[in-house]
Amino acid sequence: MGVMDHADGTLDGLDPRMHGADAAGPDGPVPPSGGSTASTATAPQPAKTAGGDGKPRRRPLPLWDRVKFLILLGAVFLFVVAADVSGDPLMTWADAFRIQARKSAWVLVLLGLEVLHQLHMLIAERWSAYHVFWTDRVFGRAERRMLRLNDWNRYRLSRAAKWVVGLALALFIYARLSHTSVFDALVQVPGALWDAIPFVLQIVLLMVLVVGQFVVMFWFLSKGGVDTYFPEDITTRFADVWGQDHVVSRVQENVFYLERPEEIESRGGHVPGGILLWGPPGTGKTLIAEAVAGETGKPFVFVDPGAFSAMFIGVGILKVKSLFRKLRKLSLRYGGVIVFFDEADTLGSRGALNGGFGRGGMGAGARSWFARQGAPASAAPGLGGPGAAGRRADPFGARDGGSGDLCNGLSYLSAAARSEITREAAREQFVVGGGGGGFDGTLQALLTEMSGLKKPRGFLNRVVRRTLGMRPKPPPKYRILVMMATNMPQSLDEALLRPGRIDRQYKVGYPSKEGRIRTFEGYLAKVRHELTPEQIDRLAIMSPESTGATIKDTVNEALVQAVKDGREVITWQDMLRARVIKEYGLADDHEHIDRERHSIALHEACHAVVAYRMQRGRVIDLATIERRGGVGGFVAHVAVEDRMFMWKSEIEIQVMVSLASLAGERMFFEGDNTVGVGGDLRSATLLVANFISSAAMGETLASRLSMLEQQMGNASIDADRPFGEQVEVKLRELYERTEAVLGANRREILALTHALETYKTITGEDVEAIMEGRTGPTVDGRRYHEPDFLSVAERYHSDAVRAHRGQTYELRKLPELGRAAASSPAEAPTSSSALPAVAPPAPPAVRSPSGGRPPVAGQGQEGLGS
Amino acid sequence: MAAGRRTTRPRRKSLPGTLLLLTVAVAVLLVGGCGSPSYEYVTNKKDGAFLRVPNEWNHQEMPGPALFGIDARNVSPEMLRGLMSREWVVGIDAAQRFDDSRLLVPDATLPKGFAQVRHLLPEEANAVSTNDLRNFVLSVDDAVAAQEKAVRQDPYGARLTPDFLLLADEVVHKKDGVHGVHLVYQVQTDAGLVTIDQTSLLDNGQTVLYQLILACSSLCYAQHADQIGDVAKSFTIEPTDRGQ
Repeated sequence: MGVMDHADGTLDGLDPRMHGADAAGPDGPVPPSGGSTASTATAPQPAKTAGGDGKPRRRPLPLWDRVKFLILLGAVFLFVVAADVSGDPLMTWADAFRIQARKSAWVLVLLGLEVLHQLHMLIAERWSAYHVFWTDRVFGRAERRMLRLNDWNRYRLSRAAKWVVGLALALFIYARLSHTSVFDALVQVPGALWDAIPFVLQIVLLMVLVVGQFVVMFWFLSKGGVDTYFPEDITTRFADVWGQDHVVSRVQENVFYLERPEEIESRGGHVPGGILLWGPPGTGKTLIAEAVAGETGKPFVFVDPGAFSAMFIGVGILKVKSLFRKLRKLSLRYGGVIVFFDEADTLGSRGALNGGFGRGGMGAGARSWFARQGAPASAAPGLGGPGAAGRRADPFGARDGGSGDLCNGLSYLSAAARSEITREAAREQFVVGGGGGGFDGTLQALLTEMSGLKKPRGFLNRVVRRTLGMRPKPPPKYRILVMMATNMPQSLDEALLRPGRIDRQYKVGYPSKEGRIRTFEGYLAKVRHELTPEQIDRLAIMSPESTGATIKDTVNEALVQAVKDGREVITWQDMLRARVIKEYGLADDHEHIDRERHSIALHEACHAVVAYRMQRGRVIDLATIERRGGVGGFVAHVAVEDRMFMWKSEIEIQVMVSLASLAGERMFFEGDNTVGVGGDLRSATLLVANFISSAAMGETLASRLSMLEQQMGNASIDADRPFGEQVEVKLRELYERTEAVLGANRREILALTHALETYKTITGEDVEAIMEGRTGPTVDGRRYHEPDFLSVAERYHSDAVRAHRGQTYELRKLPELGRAAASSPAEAPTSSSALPAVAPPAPPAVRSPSGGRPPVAGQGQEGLGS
Repeated sequence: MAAGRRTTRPRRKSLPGTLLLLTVAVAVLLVGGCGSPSYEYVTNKKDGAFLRVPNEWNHQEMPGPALFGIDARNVSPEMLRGLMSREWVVGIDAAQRFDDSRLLVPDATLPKGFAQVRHLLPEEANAVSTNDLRNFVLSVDDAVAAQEKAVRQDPYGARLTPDFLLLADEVVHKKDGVHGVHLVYQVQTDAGLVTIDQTSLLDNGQTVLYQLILACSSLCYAQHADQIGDVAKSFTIEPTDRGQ
């Protein structure tokens, strides 16, 4: 026999050359459901085998497979018979058998069918022609016919068959339960269903009650945290946002396009969908959003930071969906809507998964984007910025500014080179990555809603129209402007910031000088004051990192100071005092002993003199010898220019300012110095080491810092002697230059020392007045330039040195300078215990170790600390 | 080692003989199942009441109670439901079509009756006695007395056409303390002479009443006495603890 010819010319399992498992036929083994012939046709196909003569036959079944269903069905029948006999003393086995042969005839029918099936299988195992007939002519033909149908029709047929079988089975069960025939049952079914309606309704009602309480609970849980404002609700305007003109103008653009979408859409563009406002706290991000709400003609939806925090997983998703449903509705109704997420960092991040342009240590998520943009947290350290030095403890923090990778963002390099350079950073991202939050699906839901599938929406649209054969209408154009504000942009998810979601990211930085002036003017306009425009200008210069919030607070503090003095008008002194309180905090109630007071004052005077003489673009903000916390005194600086980069020469000056304390103490105390210079030396050493190793400040060009980052080297001075020597040489060179500066300004040092001892705290203007021989706000500097001052000061200092040597116990009384070095007699203190013109303490950058030794002016990133 | 290994022929797992045997067994089962059973079995396993009736007789479990001594019209619906839950009744009818309109038709032409199990109300259980079992259908003792009186008054006429004739009166004691009476008696009615076969039993605690009543005309009884006797004899009680 062998190959059978078919209409389609294909070979089937009958080819004797196809042995074993390769030749599957339609005839199955023992049917899984008790041997019905219907099931045999679709049962899993067994392998066929060829007999000794090479003719195809069915592979013999193991005995167990052959008899298992026979045994099962027989056991079932015996069981029902035994159940009849047991417990009935009259029943005989024969009668029970006969009775059950009628009552449970279906078991016997299945048993008979299974016997037939097994006989069929047995014959097919032994008689090739019989086997071929069934597999090819009967089942094969049926299967080929089925294969002519396409998959979808076959699926529908199978589905219909399943329904019919299921319904028939249900009807059969119903007939048995109601003790009627199947046909009677079929007639009764509609009536029975009708009668069952009340019961079904009861069940439905019960389920509605059970499920409904969850629905209601989740509905309530999914509400809240979202407020909607309409144009007339908010009175804040863009004009109320001071000092952020560039951001405001960009935000206005977006609002403009939202309100007049045709302006851009008619030209083939699209309305920007998202704005991120990021920047330090208090810079007016929320105020800008509020102004948008006040200026726009569209509804403004404000989302609370905690709106998506929920006790149950899934509620956050519901809230997001509910929010965007509301937004779409508002958008359609009003032609657009603005939604504002305050403190968007609460939305969380899934962590960064790319090895992109992240900068190690910055956190996860959006680092890569911000790295391209210029880094929010670590940009330009050591440049610009406020007085309170040392907000950054990491001395290497300045590496970014110094190493200069901000200047072009490495864009001049090839991709491969960039990848190699950032390899370490990428690895660090994976370690650090995570970012917290966003794991319950809320963030993902937000991302999807912001830019997901543009699905047809609505039951009528999707179901009814489709049922009627109509195509669902495409969704309308929802014009939703998403605004977010955060001061932690690095914790945002990267996917959130891609174009299409948050198209535009605007940094709301510290206000410009003009903005600060305007802000000061704005808040001062609300109180009575006698500040001149020049003084306000000066305030703005002195407060480069002031925000609207801090300026408001400072003005208020000044008012408090004025009221405390019984005045209603704020004076320049009040403002200065308020600034010191706010910037540096309140001073401890501590009185230095005379000798220590002199050495501390001299120490700080040296810092101040070198800073005054050498620094460019920075001015002294404050000099004090009042103790604040563990810091005995400090000289603070502010930058007056908003610059990006430092020069090598400027770094050297910073180091010189740091070294001034050591050089001064040794110069004035016969080579001796306090341990208070430790902090200054630390700053100086780290600055020199850092910039030698990263910015070619020394004689070498190699960036040792980058090698350190890549764990390719060691920047330790011990382990790298040439490097350490280079640092020492540079420090020594700068020390000598510092000594020269101090030597040339001996009078000024003694003058500043005297002023500090007298007033404890003096402002930058006073320092300037003393240095230049002018009148300052507190101190009359002219007196210090009179011929007799130097001799008086030198005598006093000689006494102090003798006391230091231990030759005298008591220090001579601080000399009073006749007319007093005060601009007004009323303010001139008459003794060393005179109250300072200004007060309070603050956490300056580098604090000297506690222990009572004089703190030293240190070099932080911005100014001199400790 | 190899030399010492015994090689055994693998046993054939597929045994057509076994299959043939099974097929024969199944065929026997199928053929055997074609016959009719010898009897119809009336079974109440919950209360332990069994009897069998000839195969051609009909029997049917009745939904409502056959309340003896209680007029259902005077009973509240709640009480009726309570009573119904305490009673199991199966109607028996030798006629081709089961007539469920009445279970006790004394003048039926073919044997008709019922079997019942009734959990007595506490008041009934306290009051019931073996003697009372005799008078459940009619007051047998009164009828006997009346018949004797009639015989005294008219010995010939009363004996020739008796109004009441007690054919059997035996006290029954079965296992597990089940006890009662079995009576067979003829009664003259408007429709003629009828014969009633009455078995009334109580369990040991006298809380459950088991009854089998079969009746038909006396002529019918004469024709079917054996069958009726067999049915009454098959009435078996195996008390369960359900009624305790």
